[in-house]
Parts: sequence; structure tokens; C-alpha cells
Amino acid sequence: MVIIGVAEYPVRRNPQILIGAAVTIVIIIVAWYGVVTWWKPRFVIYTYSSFMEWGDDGAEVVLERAFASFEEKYGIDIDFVILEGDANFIVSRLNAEAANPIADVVIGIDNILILQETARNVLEPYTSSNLGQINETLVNLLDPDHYLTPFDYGLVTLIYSMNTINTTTHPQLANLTFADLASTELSSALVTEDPHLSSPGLSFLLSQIAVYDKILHEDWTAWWNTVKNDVDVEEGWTEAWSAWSSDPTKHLLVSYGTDPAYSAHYLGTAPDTAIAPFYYNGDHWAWMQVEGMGLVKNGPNPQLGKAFIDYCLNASVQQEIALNQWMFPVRSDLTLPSVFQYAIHPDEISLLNTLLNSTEIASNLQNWLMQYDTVMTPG
Amino acid sequence: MAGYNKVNIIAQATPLIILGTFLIYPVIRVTVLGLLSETGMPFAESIAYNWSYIEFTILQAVLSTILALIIGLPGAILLARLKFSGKNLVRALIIIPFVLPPIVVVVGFLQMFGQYGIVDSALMWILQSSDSVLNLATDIPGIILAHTFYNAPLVILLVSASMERINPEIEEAADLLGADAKQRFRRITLPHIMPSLIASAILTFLFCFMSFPIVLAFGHGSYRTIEVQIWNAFRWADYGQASSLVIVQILFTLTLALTYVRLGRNEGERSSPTSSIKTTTLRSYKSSEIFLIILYFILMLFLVAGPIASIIRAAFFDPISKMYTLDGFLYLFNTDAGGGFRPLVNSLFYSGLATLLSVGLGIPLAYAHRSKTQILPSLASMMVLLPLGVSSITIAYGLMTAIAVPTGLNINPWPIIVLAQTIIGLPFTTRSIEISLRSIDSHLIDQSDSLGASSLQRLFFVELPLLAPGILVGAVFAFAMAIGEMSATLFIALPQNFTLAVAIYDNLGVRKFVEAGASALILVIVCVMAFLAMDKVSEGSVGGAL
Amino acid sequence: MATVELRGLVRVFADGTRVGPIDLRIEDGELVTLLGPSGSGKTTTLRMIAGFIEVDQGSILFDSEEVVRVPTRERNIGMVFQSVALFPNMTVYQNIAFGPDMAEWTHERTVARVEELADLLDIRPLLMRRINEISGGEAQRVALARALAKQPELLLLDEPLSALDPQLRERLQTEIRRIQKKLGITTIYVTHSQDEAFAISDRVAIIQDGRVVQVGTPEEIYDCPANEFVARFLGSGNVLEGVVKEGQQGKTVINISGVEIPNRANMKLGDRLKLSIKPEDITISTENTSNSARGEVISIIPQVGSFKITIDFEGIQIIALTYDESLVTKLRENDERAVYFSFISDSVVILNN
Ligand SMILES: Nc1ncnc2c1ncn2[C@@H]1O[C@H](COP(=O)(O)OP(=O)(O)O)[C@@H](O)[C@H]1O
Ligand SMILES: [Mg+2]
Repeated sequence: MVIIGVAEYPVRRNPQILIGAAVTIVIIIVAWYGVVTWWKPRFVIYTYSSFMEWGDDGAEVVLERAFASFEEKYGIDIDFVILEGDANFIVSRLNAEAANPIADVVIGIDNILILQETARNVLEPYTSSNLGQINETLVNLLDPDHYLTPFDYGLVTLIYSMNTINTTTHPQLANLTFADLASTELSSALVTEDPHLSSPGLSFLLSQIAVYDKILHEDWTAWWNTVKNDVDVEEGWTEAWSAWSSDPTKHLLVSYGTDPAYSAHYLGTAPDTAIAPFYYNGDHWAWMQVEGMGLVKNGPNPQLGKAFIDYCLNASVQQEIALNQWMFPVRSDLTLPSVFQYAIHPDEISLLNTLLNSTEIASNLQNWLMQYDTVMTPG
Repeated sequence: MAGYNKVNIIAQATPLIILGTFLIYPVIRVTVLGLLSETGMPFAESIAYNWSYIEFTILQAVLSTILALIIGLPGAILLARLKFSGKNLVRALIIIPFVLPPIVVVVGFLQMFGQYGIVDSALMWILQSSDSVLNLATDIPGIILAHTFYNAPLVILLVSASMERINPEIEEAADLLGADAKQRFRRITLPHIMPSLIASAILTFLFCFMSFPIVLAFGHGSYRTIEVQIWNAFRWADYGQASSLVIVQILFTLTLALTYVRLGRNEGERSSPTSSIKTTTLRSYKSSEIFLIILYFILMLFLVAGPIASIIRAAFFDPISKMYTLDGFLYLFNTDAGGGFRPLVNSLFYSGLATLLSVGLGIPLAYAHRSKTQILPSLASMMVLLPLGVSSITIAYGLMTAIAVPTGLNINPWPIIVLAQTIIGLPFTTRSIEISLRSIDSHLIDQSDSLGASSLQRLFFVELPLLAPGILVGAVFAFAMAIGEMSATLFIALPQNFTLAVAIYDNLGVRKFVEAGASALILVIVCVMAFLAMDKVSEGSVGGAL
Repeated sequence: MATVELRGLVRVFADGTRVGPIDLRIEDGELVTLLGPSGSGKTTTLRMIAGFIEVDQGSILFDSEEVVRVPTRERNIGMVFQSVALFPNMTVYQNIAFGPDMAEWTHERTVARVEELADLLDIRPLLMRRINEISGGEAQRVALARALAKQPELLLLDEPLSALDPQLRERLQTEIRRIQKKLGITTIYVTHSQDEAFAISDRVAIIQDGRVVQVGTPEEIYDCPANEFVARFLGSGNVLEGVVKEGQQGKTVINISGVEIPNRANMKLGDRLKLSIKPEDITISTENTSNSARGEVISIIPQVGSFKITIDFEGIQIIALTYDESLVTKLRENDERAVYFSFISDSVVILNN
């Protein structure tokens, strides 16, 4: 028989040591991650995903350049928190955080979104002392109640890539109507954005409603009914842009009137992107979007927030807008880069905004969106 | 009473309190406040407005369930009755789709069935067409196929398990009494597997009913389920509408979930040994039957293995430039703000932590299920079922407003993400632990008491080792759920908190397909590895969590 | 070691099933068996003693100390179940050492104790095996060793041998008894088998419907079953019915279908009563003698050293034992199967209701 020594029998260890060790390790890892990601912001700006991102240098460099002196003056770091999604999502987040907001300023709410109660609920009206630098029509177009201060503006319109279609192949592009656009050929080449989730998408919907309701006096839903199976509705502008630029069957995009300028800058030559504004009653029409900055209600640093809004109207910030944000700066005293000759300026065109006044939009928006959904929902 | 003291009750009540704080309270709060809030649609109007979406939700869930049953049933029969080598491996592998994150499945489907995907390319080549011929990864076909991909394996597993429990003597007796194969199936097999068929149908319906990333990705905003509408409503800050939909959803899903759990209980009690199951080799079939069987295997290969395998291709092949590239992996190692490294680390960290929490909560919750007090078991099962029936977005929004904002955690909300991920995986973890707990011989517990073990010693020396397989299965499910979780994370996260699942969604949106593909591949590898490790250790008790 | 006393012990289950009240005293070092059919409440009683289930009424005294509120692990008992319930995640050694480990014995002391028991039970070579690597009989030994390892004051055995085959069962019975005596440990043994109970016990307590109906040494119980239930359950007795009738000399007699015995019980004329007669006390013959009754042979089964003869008597089956081979031959040759039996009055036990 085999004799087994005492030492060969297993000793039972109490679990306390093991548990203790495991718990300690977990706590250390969690604490380590907590410390590494520790982030106590001094001053938070909420903005959307493509803010100041379309320049040669990238958002980080631009923002540093534009805001260095502000940071220095107040001895703070500005945290630009880029929220995934569009301005709608920012408003939704501000609502969720209404009880204890972490942001002081929000940039990117536009002249339609501000008409909604949910947006106004989370903002504090503020009349910037620098407001004199801006054309008053912009201020009034955006928000006469000063919940928002204009930051930049531009036209929402259709663009197309001249490499694939142009006024020779498609003469109707020069004087485009929604009826032209409803042809299967063009509607299946069109990319737009979800009006629920994206401001250019909503601007496009309102453009269409304005034309049908105010110029043609027709039922606007009919047009959507015709195109609903062909048009590509992407979630947001970024997604739509990718679809338009990567899918060879997509030629038309709901985008901005400055895109030819971007194209020219990018190519270093004449642009390959052109604009197709709508044409009715002998005029070209487009929707004007004004993007604003707002002071977050109950934000942690209201004084700093106000100072920031004032500062954003300074030339040092405003002059970055053209080549990085590809919008028009709200200060009219700045010289625009030469590529902006290819951009279409709101002054050169009739504004569809003038056809729909803000009270009308505010009271009907929900309804219009529902009707839009009814048309667009399959089945 | 011995072995059942205050400490025990406290240990079992703690997770209930935690769930009460981090699940029940936030969800009820957000729902009630939403209904009371002035902003947004009131209840009746919300229902009327969303009626077509509610209908669509049910329709697609019904269609998906039917398809999953049709495709799953033959597989179940084959798995139970056909003798072939590697059967255990197949049984283990077949649950893999279930642990794959939905957004990863979306990537696989796009690559396999989508425009310029594998199937499309093959058809284009056959038809010598330069345009896309067939895009199945979109709209209703995409939604339903992806749901079938997920749930047919589920049907196969549940039904084949029940089929293996049929006493073969009953079938033999029927045979002797002159019943032919068809009659035998209708009179004996079908009634026997009926509960499991119903159970898997309910489960499938439930999952499809709650499905979010798949519907979001393939529905393009035009096909919307209740879940998508809740997401939209929150994004539009229309709390009235969101709350109304949440209520509709909860009523629907909890009824189903409760039915399912009832069924599961009965099923469990009736189980008998599986040793004498009657199987036949392929050779004993007619050649026409063999042909059908082979056809079926090819179909499954196409539908289930295809998308998974195509994720590998998706990681290297850029469908836009039609070129192979390593950019996807460069992205994963890019530590810059927009790079994939941070999301990768976040994913692993959050889901690791969520797994630990899930297990930590799941064990006492499983114990609470068999507590002798009146209220604990039903309270526990209700709380555990709730995440199955409440949209993850509601949970996320509830956690945000009720927990993160008042505590200031919204500045750096990663603990909230971990919590949300934990809660969402908890039903699976708890269930698998509970099932394994039920199979522990109560005499063992009595023995350890009589031998003088304290509750803690009993837990560590006796119960936990015996529960280990169940815990492991539960942990893997928790991990898979957590790492694949997208909607709640998307809602809570600031950019520095993005996970790989969110990054995949982002990249898909802007058509960075290889970046999405490479991230998806990493997730697949991680999930499959976790799964295989578990399967090895737990020796095939994998179905437990279902 | 300990004495155990159960006083009016009652357990009422949620569905209203009631076990008890049970009163029983077990002396120090004694082995008492709870014997009764299944469902009679043996396990419940044992589980109350162990503290696994709550006691609804009554008290349990270990060495005169009330333990009803003491948790199981502080009662210092060892227990073996029919379903061994060995910890499947541990080796044989770890199973046996579990109790000492929980009591935080030193490793050396634990090992010494485990080896001592392993030798006693002849399982030394198994110590390093896993539980799924040992046989049923070995498992019972291991379970016993595990129960004894931490030197409990009371050993509880709930049908520990029921699942084993008869030979193994008998061997282990002897072994359990041997070890119990050697260690002098107070033991409560539960079984539904009379043979097992009689083979192993100092005293036997018969349980019927949750109550102790008779306590005594095996001999006492065998010779004098307290009631019809006990007599029938033991299978030792033929339970017959008698009537008090007028006998000779003005005395009353008990007439059991023709066989008369004196009315020892002083019953009134016309009273009916039940009586138990052990098989070996019945005399049978092929001839009609005085004071005998006639019956019909149903079967003759040879047993070790005797024949078991089943007789049908007016629809009642009576079992008799005989050692007389010539009588058996005669019975077998008798086509009419007629048989006469009688018994002496002293061997008849009058059962109280
Ligand atoms: N947990 C329980 N709930 C309800 N009744 C029970 C329970 N356990 C035992 N019983 C009932 O109590 C009676 C005694 O059971 P038990 O003590 O197991 O008998 P024995 O061990 O003598 O076979 C039986 O009628 C049994 O049905
Ligand atoms: Mg029993």
C-alpha cells in the first residue's frame, strides 16, 4: 500500500484571501481607469460632430488657434464636447441634463430647431454686447428673443457633382423645380437627410413645403409620395455626404450653398460641385440656415458662457468659419477667401424662409413631420 | 431557522435594492414624468400616431418568428435524430450567432447579402451585370433575414433538446401499433415538443419585438419598430410619446416573458434522461431525403455561417474602392480622438466590469428565486425579467436623468454605461445561474450545514464550485450582451466613452466599411473566444441561459 | 457523547401534513432506530433533529439542553443520507476532511483523523479518488467517514443502505454497528426495513402516521407488538379476529374461528378483539385435533432451515412456519390441501385496538 505523507493531502484554504485579492485587483483596475479618464471640465461647449472639422488643419488646431486667447484670459481650458448626431440630439441631451447641466454653451441650434419648445426650455436668453457687429436681419431670422446668438449661416440647397451630371446632360438643373426632381432618374439620384434628425434635412422639407404651399398652392405630400421609393434619406448630413460621394448612382445631395467653394479649395482648381437652387416665378430660391450659440440654462459658469458667446463674435473666431466650417461668418466686415466666389450668398437669391413665418413653422412643424412620416412609412 | 438567517436575507435583498435603484426607479420615473410632461404627445395621440409602427413591429416579429421556426424545426429534428460525428461541436457552435452583437451581424449581412456583397457579386458575375442585382440586406428582407439568423439557432437548440427527452419506447410502441412516420410525428413527437416550440416562438418573437440595431440599420428610418420610435422620441425630446410607447412595449413584452418563464418552469420539471435517444445515421435515409438534408445544411451554411464568415472579408475588403486593405486594423490601433483604440479599450473594460457585476448580482438573484420567503422569488423574477421587456434606450435615458445627472456623473458617464450594460445582460446571467442552482442536490447543502460550514464557507466550498458552469455560461452571455450593447451606450456616452459597437454603427453611417468590418471582426473574435472557453469548461450546458 | 430527548416534537407542512407529536429519549451511546413505512415521518423527525427544518412545536434536548434554536452547524451532528450526497467537486479525502476543515483543525490532526476513519472503514486506497470514481458501497463508507470525521456527538443515518444490494447492505449493517459500538456514539438510524432495524439497534421506535407507537428492544417488539399496525408491519404476526364466547365451567373464552383460548383480557361476552400470533407459534397438522381450525394450503415456500406455509382461513391468510419435513411431504401429497392448525394460548398477543 502506498503511504501518503501528511503534506501530500490538500489543505483547504479559506476563501477570504482569494476574494480579497480579486476584489483588490478589480478595485485597482477600476480606480486606474477612473483616474486615467478623470475629466473635470471647467467649461464645456456642446456641439455637433462636424464642428470646424472641414478645414486643412482639422478641428483641434483650429479651435486652439481661435480660442487660445480666451482660454488664456480666463485661465481655463475649453472642452468642446462633440455629441454624436445632430443638433436635435444635443437638445435632447440638454433636456436630459436639465436638472444639472454640465455644458455652458451650445453651438449648432438653428433657426428651425429654436422654434421648438424643447430647445427654448433648456436655454437662457442672452443679448450679447457684440451683437452690434452682426446684421440685424440675421439676428431676427434666427431668434428675435435672443435665446440664440448667430454664429454662422448659409443656404441649404441641392448640390451635384459636375463629373456625373451637368447642365448639358440635364438642362433642367439650371432652373430646377421639384417636378423635375420627381422624375425617376433624378429622384433616385437624390440623397437627403432625415428631417427628424438633421437640420439640413428639415430645411429641405420646409423648402418643399414652402414651395408647394405658398408658391404652387398644391398638396405638398404629393411630391413625397412620388419620390418616396427612390430618394435616399440618410440619417444625418455626414452619412448623406458619404452616400453621395461614394455611391456612383447618387448625384444630387441636399447640402450647403458653400460646397462649390469647398470643392474649389479642395481641388485647387475650379470646383466640380455645382448648386442647383430651385427655380420658381422667375427666381432662384433656397432655404437659409442660421446656426446659433445659446447659453445653457442653469449652466455651471454663466458669466463665462456669456463671455464665450461674446468672444465667438470676434474676428479671431469668425474668420475661421469660412474655411473650416464652410459657412458664412455672421460678421459682415470680414473678407471672405477667394474660393467663396463659387459659393452662393443668401443675398443673391430669394429666401424660402420668407414664405413661411416662424409662428407658422412653430405651430405646424409637428404636424408636417407626422404627415411626412405617414407618406414615407412603407406599407 | 438554521442556515437561513438575516445575513442571507440581506444578501438576497441587496441586488433587489440595487435593481430597484438603478432599474425600476429610473424607468418608472422617466415613464411617469414623460406622461406628465407638457412637452410632446399625450398618450392617446401617441398611440394613434404610432399605430402603423406598432403594427409593423408585430408584423416583422411574426414573420421573423415564422421563418425562424420553419428554418429551425428541420435543424432541430436533424440535430436530435441524425447521428454524425462532430455533433457536439455543431451543438456548441450553433449558439454562436446568439452571442454576436447585432451591429456585428449587420456588418456580416451587408457583406454577405448586401449591395455588392458576396451574393450580389456572384449574381452580378453570373448575369454579367455591372449593376447591383440583389440586395437582401435592406428593408424588410434584411430585417427578417437577420432576425432569422439570430433566432433559428435558438429554435434548433431548444426544440432539439426537448426532442431528445422523448422516451424512445413511446415511439417504438406507436410504431408497433402501426403508426407511420407522419402519424408518429403528428401524434407523438409534435405534442411532446410543442412546449419547446411555443417557448422558442415566444422568445424569438420577444427578441424581434425588441430588436433595435438591426431595424435601425436595415430600416433606413422608414421601417420603424416601437423600439426605434422610442429612440426617436427621446431624440426629439418628445417625452410624452416616448413614455406612451414604453408602456405599450412593457405590457406586450412582460406578458410574453412571463408566459415564457412559466413554460420554462414546467418544461424543466418534466425532463427525463436523454441517454436512450434514438438516432440514425445518414445512410439509413432515402436518397431524396439525403438530398434535402444536404440542401438544408447548405442553406444553414449560407444563412448562419455565411454572414459570420463574411465579417472576415468585411474587415479587409472595401466595397467602395473594391480593394483589399488593412486600413480597418490601422484604425483599430489609432489612438487619436477619432481612432478605434479608445473604443476597443472602453469596450473591453466596460463589458468586463459589467460581466463581474452581472455575476455578482446574478448569484444572489438566483438565490432569491428559491428563497422561502413569500415575496422575494416573485420580486426577483419580475425585476430580472424587466430588462427583457424594457427598451435599453428607456433604461439608458432613465439612468441618465435619474442617476447620472443628479450625481453629476454625466460629466464622465462610464459607470452609467457599465450599469446599463449590466442590467441589460442580467436576465440571461441570472437565468443560467438559477437553472444551475436548481440542479444542486439540496442534500449537499444540508450536509455542509451539518458538517459545520458557515454560510460563507458553504457558498465558497460547495455551492460556487457546483454553480461554476452556470456562472460561466451566465458570464459569457453577460459579456456578449455588454460588449454588443449599442443603443444605451450611444445614448449615454460622450465621445470619450464610445465603445466598439457604437464605433461600428458610426463607421457604417459614414460608409467607412473596413473600419466597421475590422471592429466587427474583433468583436466576433472576442465573443467567440469567450464562448469557446466557456464551452470547454462548462461541458456543453450552454443553452442554460435561454 | 450525548443523550437526545424529543418532547412533543411537531412539524406541520405548508399543505397541512402533520408529523408528530413525537416523544422519544435516546441514551448516551445508544443506537435507536426509527422504523416505519415510508411517509410515516421518519425523515421529517430526523431533519428536525438535524435542524434542517423548523420545529413547529415541542423541544429537542441534547444532554438536557434545548437546541431547537441552535443552527445546524452548531449542533455537532453527523449525518448520512440514502443519496450519499458526497460533494462531487472534491476528492474522497476532501469530503472526509470537510468537517474538520470547517472546525479549523490543524492539518496534521485532520489527516490523522481521516486516515484513522479510512482504516476503520477500509477505504484508505480511495482517499485521492474523485467521487465519480468510487462505487455505491464505497460511497456509503465515505459518507459515513465524513459524518464521523469531526467527532460529532450524534450520528443521524437516514436509510443509508436502502440503495444498496442485499449482500452489501448486510455487510455494511454489521460494519455500522461495529463502528458505532467502537466509537460509542449516540446514533439515530432510520429505516423502513424490519430486518435492518432488528439487526442493528439497541432499541427500535416504531413510527406510524407521524407518531411513535412503540419503543423497545427488538425482542420486546417482536414478541409483543403493541397494536395491529405494528404486528402487521413487522410481518411477524398473523393478525386474527376473536370473539368472547361462553366456555366451559361458566368461564368466558376467546374463540378464534374455532380455536379457543382463555379470556385473559377479561373482556365482556360478545366483544370482538384482534390478536397476533407469530408464525412459529402455530402448530399445523393434517389431522383434525381438538381446538383446531381448518384451512387450505395456498403455498409452501422452503426457507433456510424451515418451510413457510401460507394458509387460507376463511379468506384470511395465515402464515405458519414448520421444521417438519415429513409434514410438508404429507401436505404436498394432500390433494384437498386441507390443513388444521392450532396454537397455545400463551403465544397469543392480544392487541389493543
Ligand atoms: N416538504 C414537505 N412538504 C409537505 N409535506 C411533506 C414534506 N416533506 C414530507 N412531507 C410529508 O410528510 C410526511 C412524512 O414524510 P417523511 O418524513 O419523508 O416520511 P419517511 O421518511 O418516513 O418516509 C409524508 O406524508 C410526506 O408526504
Ligand atoms: Mg424518508
